[in-house]
Amino acid sequence: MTNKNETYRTRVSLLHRITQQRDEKSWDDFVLYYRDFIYLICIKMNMSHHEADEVVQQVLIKLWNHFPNFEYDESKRFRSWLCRIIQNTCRDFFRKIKSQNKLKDKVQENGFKKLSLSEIDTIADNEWNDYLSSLALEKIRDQFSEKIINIFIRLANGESPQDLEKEYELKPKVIYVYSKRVRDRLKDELRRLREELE
Amino acid sequence: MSDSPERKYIRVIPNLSKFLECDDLEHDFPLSNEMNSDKRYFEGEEIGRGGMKKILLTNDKLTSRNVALATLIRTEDPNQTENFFREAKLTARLQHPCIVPVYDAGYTKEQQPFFTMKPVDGENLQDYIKTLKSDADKNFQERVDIFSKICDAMAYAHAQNIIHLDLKPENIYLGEFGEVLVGDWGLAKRLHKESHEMDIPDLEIQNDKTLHGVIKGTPGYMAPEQINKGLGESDHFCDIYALGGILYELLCSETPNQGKDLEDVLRNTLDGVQKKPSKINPNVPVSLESIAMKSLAVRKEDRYNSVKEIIEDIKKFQGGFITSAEQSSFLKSLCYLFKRHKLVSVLIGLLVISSIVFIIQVYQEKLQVSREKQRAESQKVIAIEQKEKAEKAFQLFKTAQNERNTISKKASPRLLSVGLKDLTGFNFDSARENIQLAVLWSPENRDAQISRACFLLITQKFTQAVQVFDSLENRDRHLQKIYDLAKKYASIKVNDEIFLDTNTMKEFLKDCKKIYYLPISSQNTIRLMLHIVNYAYLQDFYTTEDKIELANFAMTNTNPLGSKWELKWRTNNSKFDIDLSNNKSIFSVKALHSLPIRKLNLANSSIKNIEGLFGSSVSELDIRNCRINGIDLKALKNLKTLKLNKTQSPMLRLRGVEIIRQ
Repeated sequence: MTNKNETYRTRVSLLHRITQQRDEKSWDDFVLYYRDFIYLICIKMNMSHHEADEVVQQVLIKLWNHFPNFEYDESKRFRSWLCRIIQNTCRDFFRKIKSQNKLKDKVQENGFKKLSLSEIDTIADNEWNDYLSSLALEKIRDQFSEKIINIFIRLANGESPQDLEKEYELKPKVIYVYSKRVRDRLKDELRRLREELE
Repeated sequence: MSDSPERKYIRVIPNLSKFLECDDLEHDFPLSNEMNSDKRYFEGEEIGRGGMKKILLTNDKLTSRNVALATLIRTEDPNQTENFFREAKLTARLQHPCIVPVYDAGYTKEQQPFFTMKPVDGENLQDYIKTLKSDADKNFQERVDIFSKICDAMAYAHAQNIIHLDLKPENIYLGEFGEVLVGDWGLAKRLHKESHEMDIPDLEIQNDKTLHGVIKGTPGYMAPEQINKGLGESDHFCDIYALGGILYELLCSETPNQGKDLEDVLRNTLDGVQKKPSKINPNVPVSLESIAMKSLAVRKEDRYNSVKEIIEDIKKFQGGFITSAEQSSFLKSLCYLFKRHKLVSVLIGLLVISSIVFIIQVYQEKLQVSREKQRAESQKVIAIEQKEKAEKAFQLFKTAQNERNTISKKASPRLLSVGLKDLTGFNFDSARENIQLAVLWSPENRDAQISRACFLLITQKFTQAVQVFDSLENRDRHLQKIYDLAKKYASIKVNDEIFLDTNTMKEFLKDCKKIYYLPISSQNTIRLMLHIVNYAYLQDFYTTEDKIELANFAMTNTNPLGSKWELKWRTNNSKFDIDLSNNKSIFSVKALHSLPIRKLNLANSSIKNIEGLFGSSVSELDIRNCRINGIDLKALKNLKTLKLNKTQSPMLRLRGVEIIRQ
């Protein structure tokens, strides 16, 4: 996985590539990196998994059709453009559901929060870093044993090595060493991802 | 919708980026951090207890090693504390590989006096002697090795003017890897002889106290002068006596001074009533017995003068020389000479005797026996050879069979990937052959089966496709959808030999697009549509108009939604002239690949990539004002004429292509 990525790391960022070249590969990469991020924002807007799943697809379809119109500038502006598309899609989506429910004479509550564009922007900004880090973690996962990754995630969730000591039968010192190994590798991967996406 | 969110989307870990940013010192420099911890030793289990101290096995936080921690049981008596530290300092002074090393000493945070040593958790010499008793081992080499190490330690201690005064097998520890450690220096004291060394003044004071009246030491190993002060002062001769006792016990597994009760033992010690070790164990070498008995002499003058002399005698024994403790005579010396050069002596004797016997016997018997034996041998050899041959042949047959099987298993995925590559290049005949071969070579190759089913679907053989899908178990959602599609059209068109009419064909293409419901995998959908439509172009069943209608439909569906456009076309001898000029929303022309095109006009269009036309029949191409890479033009094998504007350059030499500039 990594090796493959190294090869198309070549200079130009992903957004630049997708607007300029518009080849299959750039689009595949784009979906790989952004699909889960769109999903994450939907979930943060209090949608259920199925609703979010549906919205993600509609957003991607819109992006696929609108990309020729998008002028590449820099990532910050792209993200707010993305947010606007997400907002519109959500609005349409829930409007449609509402009218369907009315037809069937059903009143169904959903937890979806209507948010202003700036609110969505804030969510996107807040989640972006955690999202990228998690994406990076996903990419380096193969390079470590499952146990080490689990230990690292639990540490990141705020547990202390002393808590884990008994469960894994490892000394805290060893847990620190494991964690540091993952951290260092993760930071490298994150730097690479940022170069490509920002 | 059985997919769980965890499987489909990345699980985002909240605050992971913050966790990465904040550099935690404890995290990054765990060792340096640990060195700052204030508690060094932790409570451990008790492994020993003496009169005034107990020993715990604990872990030293700073060096991360196990140590034996000695602490005082009762700390009220300052004299005891003093004695305790005296032992610690005195032992610490002795730095020798065969003496238990002291690492650290002082007060703990709770004001508890302590010192730490190397933990000696193996067996001690007493345990070792007990195992000797049950095991009538004639080899004295190991025992002598252990003893000489004890002597080395004592020689060193005496050189430091320190005497042990409580040497006994219990106080000598053996490690697994040949370590011999002399410990328990609780009764040890410094000699006054050279008192210009004043570095530990308290020791001098303490010495008087140990001497005071009471008997100190262990009955049975104590020297006579330790029991009866009238015989002289306690000095290094006491240790030599005790060393003799240890050697005695190593030789015959019994203590030298025995008796009914304590008094009896002490009396026997004073009188020097001891059995000779050889009376108990007849295997004991005389020289070792002499060394032990000389060390155990009642009068100091009769013993060795120093431990060094014992060591010398032990070395003599090991080298096979006569020891100083034995009465030497010529015969004895000769005996030792024989022992030292055992091998040579025995060889000489054997050589003389055996050569005579051999010469006589061998000549008589050999002649008779050898002939018969030879015959038998040669037959045996032939039989063995034949058996080996048969086994080899069988082995060869087996490996060949295995190889065939593995080759076909390995070949299957390769064939499949070749087949799929053919499919990508719209080379349908070759693709069909390779995919079928892949299935044939390894029917359990699931990927090959799936590809075969998809291929049948592409070629509109729905009934057969359904049959293949039926045989595949555990279908995931995508596969299920393709399967449903095949079933639907199998019911519309049962006969695999005919084709769908144009309108149904359009429905079919539309349904294909719905299979993958994510646009990414839209690439897969598009691929499937492209294959279906390109295959249809090659069928005579469809008329020219049908083909153009399909091409128009496919082009619309494989390019992003944009302004509606029509394919402009003309026919010329059943070949097409297609005009896509001035279209700004076209990116892919793969949907035209297998059409019999003669002229293709892409002037002023948004097309950048004509890779999809690899191997197509286009012979005249107009790419004025297009941003098409010159290398892609190589893909057009039948290209004869190329139209460019005045500034465009094809970037590479195109042989046999006429370039027209307009």
